[in-house]
Amino acid sequence: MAKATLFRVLIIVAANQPSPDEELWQAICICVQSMLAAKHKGGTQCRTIEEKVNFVDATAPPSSDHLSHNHSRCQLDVKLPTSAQPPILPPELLPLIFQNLVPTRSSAGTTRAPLTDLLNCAKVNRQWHLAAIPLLYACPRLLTTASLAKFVDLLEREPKRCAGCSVDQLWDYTELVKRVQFGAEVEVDTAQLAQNEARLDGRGQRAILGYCQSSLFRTLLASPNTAEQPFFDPIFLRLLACPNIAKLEEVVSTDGSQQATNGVLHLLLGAIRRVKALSAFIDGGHIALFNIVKYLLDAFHGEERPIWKEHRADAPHNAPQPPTSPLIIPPQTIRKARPFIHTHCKSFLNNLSTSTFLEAQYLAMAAGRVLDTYTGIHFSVLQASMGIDVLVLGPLLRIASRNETSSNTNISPPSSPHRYDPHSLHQATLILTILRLIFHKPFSSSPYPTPPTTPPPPFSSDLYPLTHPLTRLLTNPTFLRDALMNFPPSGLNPETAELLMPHLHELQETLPSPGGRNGGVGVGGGGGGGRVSSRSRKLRRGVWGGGTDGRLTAVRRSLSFSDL
Amino acid sequence: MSDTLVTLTSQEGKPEQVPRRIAERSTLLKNMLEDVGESNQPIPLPNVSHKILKRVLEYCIHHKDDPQPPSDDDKDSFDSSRKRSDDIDEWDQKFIKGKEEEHNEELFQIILAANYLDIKPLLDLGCKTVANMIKGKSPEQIREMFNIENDFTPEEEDQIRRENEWAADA
Repeated sequence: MAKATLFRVLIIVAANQPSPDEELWQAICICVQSMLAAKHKGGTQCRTIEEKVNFVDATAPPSSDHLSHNHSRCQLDVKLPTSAQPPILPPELLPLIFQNLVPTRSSAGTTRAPLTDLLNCAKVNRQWHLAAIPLLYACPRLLTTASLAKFVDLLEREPKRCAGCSVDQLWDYTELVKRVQFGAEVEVDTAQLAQNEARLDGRGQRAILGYCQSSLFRTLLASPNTAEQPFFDPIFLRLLACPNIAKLEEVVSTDGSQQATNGVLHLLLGAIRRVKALSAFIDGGHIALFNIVKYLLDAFHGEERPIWKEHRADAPHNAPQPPTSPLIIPPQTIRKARPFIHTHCKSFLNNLSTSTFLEAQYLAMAAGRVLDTYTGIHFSVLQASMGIDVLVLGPLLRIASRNETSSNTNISPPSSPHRYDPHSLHQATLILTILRLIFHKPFSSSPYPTPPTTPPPPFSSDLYPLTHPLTRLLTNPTFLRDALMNFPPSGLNPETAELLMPHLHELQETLPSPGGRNGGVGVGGGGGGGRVSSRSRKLRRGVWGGGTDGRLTAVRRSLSFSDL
Repeated sequence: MSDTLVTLTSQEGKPEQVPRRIAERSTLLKNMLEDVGESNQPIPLPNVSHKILKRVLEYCIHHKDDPQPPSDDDKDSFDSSRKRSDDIDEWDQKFIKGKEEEHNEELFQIILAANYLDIKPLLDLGCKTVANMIKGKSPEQIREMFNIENDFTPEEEDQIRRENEWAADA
């Protein structure tokens, strides 16, 4: 095989010379003769190391860097093809072919796993494996949380070994990763969704909703470590195990709505990279650094006595005693770290707040996007039952939210004017605003709540005119539960509650009273006005019912408005 | 100048005369002709059989008016947004399909010739076609199609499967 390659090289040299000299032709002849001799010996002859080296060297022209470069990093020993017949596809062309199998942006929504073809190529034989793996890892697309978790685990495995595997990993995969794409399993086109999904039942729609969050978004929300890792999610730090990573991307839809999110992700990557660089100076990594900074922050703010002064005074007299604070940092570490921290504390705090802010922003944006889809789906349910044209509703809602108040009475949809109530449109806008305020709160402490075990309170149909779209939306027992499952509002802060209240009040005022007979009767069991205002006070203080179930009920009650 | 004829000699020694403009679709020939200057000497192409040379020239003639592709071997060749394997021109599709049933053999030879002669659009076309053949096939089917021997040990196959599990259900 080495000779075959040599032959090719000689031929190219010959072709490049206008008049090839005799020595060259002689070399070619010798080469051909020895190739023929080797062929006659049969395909299974012993392969010497020399031959292998020749092969690798010869197939590594400077242009085909892909294969040769990566060859050194793979643990697999590529042997010469055993068959006497030369391979039909030369290995240097394989990367060119496989590049066509890398999923494009526009193929984000294909139902088949987009990397399957590349993966299958990597399983064909050693040559193909060498060519396919760098491409597979250069731009991994992680569509599900399970694959994201597996991928990160693979990158982090310290003795580069598989679970239950006695040999080292075949590659150092971390070096290959350049751009990580988080995606959703199904591309969500909201217009298409509204068109098609009105026919589906609610279950199918919720299934689609489940897909439209990216794997990163879901991982961040479900991360059990969120409480202990108050700044950014460890998933980012773990991905930074790859030294060549240049970009984090979110590929959810093709309409460009993820552009902003990608910008945030890019900034986040930079911020976390800086934090990681800083924490590399301190034993114990970023958690220790975070603890130190938190402590110093407290100390600087005067909430605690500066610990090092105290310790310096005590140290000569007393035996080393465990630090009184719950921090795991021994005082000498702090003393040692002090000059460093003094100089770097400021920038670290900057980084910290930047990354926290960015993550919150990311979550808020992603939540907003999903929420819009969610609302869209539920409006399409309404459309199915009420005959309202959802496609008209969408743009109208946007206009309405811009024009704010009830001045939009003139708006009437072109297709089904008689069905359309501008009054309810305004209410719908208000509800959207309220939902946004609730769910845009970044989630700092609680992971997914456990689903409520008690069934939601039954809604009596004679109290709630079921034909009213808002009633349908708000009294749909699964709507808020599902929404809250996806976005647990782990305690509204007072500011959000303040922002929320005027909208709740306004909504309450715009809702038509179904009649004096039902005015005072509500789900909460209390009288209308007084009950609401007591809840408002609760809201202002940011107090919600204890536990998830209580919170759910509280939100549902607040939004259901007993006196609807 | 561009109307001068260039003689190319195939593997079998058969000469083939083409206008210089057509021959210059090949970057290799273009550079060579520029280096050599005016010369009537035939250019030997010992890597390309006459049949394949005719096919390649057929492609070059059809695409003679295309703008020359940018000669960038830039690092961004990695950018997948540029590569779309499903946007093959109708004529190209017919051309690469060939007439006979020994389609694979000829396809590979065309790819090799395009690589050797450095005709990037033709190389791309060939690679896209092979990629389309690979799509949706299992490793075993791919081996069968390209007559490839599986040189993995069962342990290695298992290890590859385990290490790349994330991509299987991604």
